[in-house]
Amino acid sequence: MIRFRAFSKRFGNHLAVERLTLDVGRGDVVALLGPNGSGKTTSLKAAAGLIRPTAGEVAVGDPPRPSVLAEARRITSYLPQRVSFPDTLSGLEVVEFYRALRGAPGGRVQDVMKAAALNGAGERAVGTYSGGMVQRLGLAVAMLPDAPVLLLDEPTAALDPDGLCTFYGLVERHRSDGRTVLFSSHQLGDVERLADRIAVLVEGRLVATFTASELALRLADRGVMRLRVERTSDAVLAGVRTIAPRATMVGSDLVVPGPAADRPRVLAALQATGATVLALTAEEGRLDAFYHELIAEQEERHP
Amino acid sequence: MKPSLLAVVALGYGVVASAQIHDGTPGLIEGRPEIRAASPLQQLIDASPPGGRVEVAPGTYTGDLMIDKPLRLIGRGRPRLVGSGTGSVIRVRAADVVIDGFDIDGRRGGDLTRDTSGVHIAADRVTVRDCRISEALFGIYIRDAMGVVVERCSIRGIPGRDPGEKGSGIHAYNTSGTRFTDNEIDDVRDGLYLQNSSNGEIRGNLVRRVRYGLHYMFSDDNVFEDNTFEYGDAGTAVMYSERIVFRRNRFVHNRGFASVGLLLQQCDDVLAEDNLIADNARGIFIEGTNRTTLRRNIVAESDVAIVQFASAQGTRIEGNSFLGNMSPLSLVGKRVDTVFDGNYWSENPEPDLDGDGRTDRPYRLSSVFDHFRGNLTAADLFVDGFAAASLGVAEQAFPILQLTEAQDRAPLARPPDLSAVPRPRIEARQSAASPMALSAAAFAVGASVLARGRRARAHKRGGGA
Amino acid sequence: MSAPGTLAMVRLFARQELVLAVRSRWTPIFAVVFAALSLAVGFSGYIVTGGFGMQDFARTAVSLVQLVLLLVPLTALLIGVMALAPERGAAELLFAQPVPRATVLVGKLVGLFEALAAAQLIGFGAAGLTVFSQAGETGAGGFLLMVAGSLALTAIFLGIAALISVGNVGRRARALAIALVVWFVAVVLFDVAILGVATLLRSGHASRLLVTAVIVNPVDAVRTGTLLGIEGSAAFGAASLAFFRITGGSTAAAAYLLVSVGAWLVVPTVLAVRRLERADL
Repeated sequence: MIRFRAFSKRFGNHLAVERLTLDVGRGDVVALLGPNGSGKTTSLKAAAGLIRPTAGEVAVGDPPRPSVLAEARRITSYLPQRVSFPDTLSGLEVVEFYRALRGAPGGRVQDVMKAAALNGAGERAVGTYSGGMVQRLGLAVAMLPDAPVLLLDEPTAALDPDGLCTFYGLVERHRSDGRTVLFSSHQLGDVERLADRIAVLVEGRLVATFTASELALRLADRGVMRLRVERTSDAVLAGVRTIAPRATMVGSDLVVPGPAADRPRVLAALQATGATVLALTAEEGRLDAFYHELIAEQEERHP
Repeated sequence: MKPSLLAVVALGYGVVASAQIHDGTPGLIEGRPEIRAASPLQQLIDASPPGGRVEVAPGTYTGDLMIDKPLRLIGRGRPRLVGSGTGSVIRVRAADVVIDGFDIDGRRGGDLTRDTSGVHIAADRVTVRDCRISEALFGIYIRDAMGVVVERCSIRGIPGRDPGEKGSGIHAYNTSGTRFTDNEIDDVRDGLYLQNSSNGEIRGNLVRRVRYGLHYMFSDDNVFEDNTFEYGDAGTAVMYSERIVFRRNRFVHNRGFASVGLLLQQCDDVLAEDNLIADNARGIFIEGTNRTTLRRNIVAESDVAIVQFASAQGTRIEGNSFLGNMSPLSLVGKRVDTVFDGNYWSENPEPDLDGDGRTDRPYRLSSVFDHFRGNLTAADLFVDGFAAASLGVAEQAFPILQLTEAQDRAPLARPPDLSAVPRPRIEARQSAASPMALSAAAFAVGASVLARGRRARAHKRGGGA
Repeated sequence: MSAPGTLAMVRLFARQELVLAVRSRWTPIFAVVFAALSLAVGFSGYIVTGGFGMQDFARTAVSLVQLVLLLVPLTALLIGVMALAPERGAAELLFAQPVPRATVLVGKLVGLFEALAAAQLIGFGAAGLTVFSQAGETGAGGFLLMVAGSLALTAIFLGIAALISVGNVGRRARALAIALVVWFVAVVLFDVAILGVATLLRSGHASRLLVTAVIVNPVDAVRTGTLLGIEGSAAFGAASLAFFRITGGSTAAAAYLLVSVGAWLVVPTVLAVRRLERADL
């Protein structure tokens, strides 16, 4: 339903997205994961028809048509990163305007206002809304056309708890209806909870795609255990390396990278060498390091 | 080379003036109408003794008429005299004739070279009173006569004809001591035409929708009081004459190209006081004159209030009120000995701090934009623009151009009380109905559109409930 | 999903923009200021002539037209830029909808035009009622011509505002600054420069330059056309005749002015649409 084919976008000298190729099929919920400035927003805007590709193609629908065509966008609904509305309109007027624009039935207005927990505030001017309410109003507008393809840019960034509930509900409902969702996030929580597939973008390039479980595995791999032992020796290190080959000594600390599942065996091996553990810390994988690693892997594959 | 604006004006007047002097020369004097063209009244007149009184009953009398003996021709119940369509309807060829109370229809007949008129007068001391003349080439034509009086007559020209194919309303050639009082003249070539006609009095006449309201030359010692000359394509023109007085007249709405409220050319000792000279392309035009005095007039809403050539000498302009004119003065030639003193200029921004009723500094009668337009006709296209205004402001702040020296040495700080100046005539109101309705409609449409935008929210609330 | 047609879409956006314009404080302020100044102009002739009622419509029109030339381009540019350069988050949501960008822009322009036109009509109506009730002059044609000229200027400068906004997406302050410069050039600087250059040329060339300038600049074109229409050749005296002679008669002059105004009505808007269609939002 969404097709990026060698999509590149250049803003002046800055190459925001480079040769992105990605397919999001019907019923897929795909997350774009990556650090700030990695090209997530640019890619979503391209899918929403706001940005013309410098090269390549971005198409939506079945059969796919370039998203810059207004006709093609009939099946999409897009929620920008920091949505805003004219201050002088009421929430209901905003929703009614988009309802008329999308040709949705009149009943939808009350439905989405209720779903976005805004039915009490519908007659107030948007200018009096909190940031979270504005974002929920944005979600209401995004839900309104019941579009087969949802494009959501950082939907959870400004959401209050009510909004998060609405959002998760929305995505789940879409998934169960067999609809397509492409959203961006830099929060692992959203991504792991919602996405079937995760595309990782770093510096404008697609560096990897994972299923939700693959990602969980990879991130679990990213853990590090730090140990302070009473007496360190080469024998101690050698013992640990039988289980965790990348273990090193940093000063008096033993640093042991590796999956969390291996840690009990590392500790057992350590004890077998007769060393006494004085202190222990363990941390899970940090995303920035993960991104760097993915880049390195990609460069190995495509030198 | 393209002539300057004022040269064009001057040229225009020169040509017009010489052409009209030629036109003004009278043609042949028509005599007794042929039998078949004669009015049935001719027999009545022929039968009347000299000095007699001929009363005419109501009715229509077709044919022309010659009066060749002194008598009083009195209409009872406004009899209609319809001309033959070949010559003047009434030809007065004897002195001391009175014509009173007729409707005279010239039937568009005759031709200009024979001076075909409603009433053609070539005799002394003739009076035409309370007559309505229409469809005649000339209304009343007077030549070689003394003491002719025209009173309370209404003269209407031939509608739809070019000015060149019409005659004057009242045309006087080589007369003296004429009195024209309370006449109404409409839609003719020149309203009042006076040539070689001196020592007359012209009072209370209304002349409108003409080429020249007053076309005047070689005629001295005439007095014009309480007349109105309006809607003239060219305005009024007074040339080659001396000692003329204009008092309490209105020269208004003369808006044709180069129209002038009051044009004085080669005239000496003209006095104009307490006149209303308003809404003219040019208010007053003075060229080649000596000792002109303009005082206590209101000169308002002209493109240029005064156009003056350097050839005008000894002009005094005092105690007038200049209101809302686009430009106060246009000088042709730099040297000017005109005295401007104690006038009120509505554009004069100077304060009167010492409270003596005069602004504290003299008022210079030119702007930098006048400098432009004096040299370049097309610059006038910008006269209403902001460029002209900003040039003016800039020039006041940084006076770099050496502009004309003409100035009012002690301008009035407040408009003077000129109660003798006549007020404008109030036009009939009913014609304003449609623009009034349009204005009201515009207001209503605007207000309703804005109101609809405001109402939208309330409407949605009702729909959403 | 029943898709409304293009015309219905234009109407929808126009209506939305009208509501927004009316609710923003600027349109009502403009309406009030314009009406107050129009009324002041209508009364001023009356006051200047000491209650003479000399002020018939043709004379008032000159002052009213000046008011229009000063205020209308300025407000159309400023209100236009403010409305057409919305916050990024609002623009993104709007232009991601399945509606061609041209439709969105044209709809917004129509709505803004309606709002500004309505604000002006209130002022013209008020001034007309004052002037005509005093002077009792037939002047319906001139009045309509002046209103038409004002509306044409509104549309022209809204189009220019669109062009400025589209070229400065997300940079509203910069767009407003450009709008002010455009206004100053169109209303004052252009004429001053032309008059300055004209003084350096030979008279014949200078006249042609001035006449061309008056036709080419939309503010001058509307001013000249309106005043010539209302007052005839009396509007600029001999210069009117120079204008007619150089353009080849009054019909040709009217045609030139209409073509200029028409081009200014169409070209900036078309350029804005084309630029918007290529823009990244």
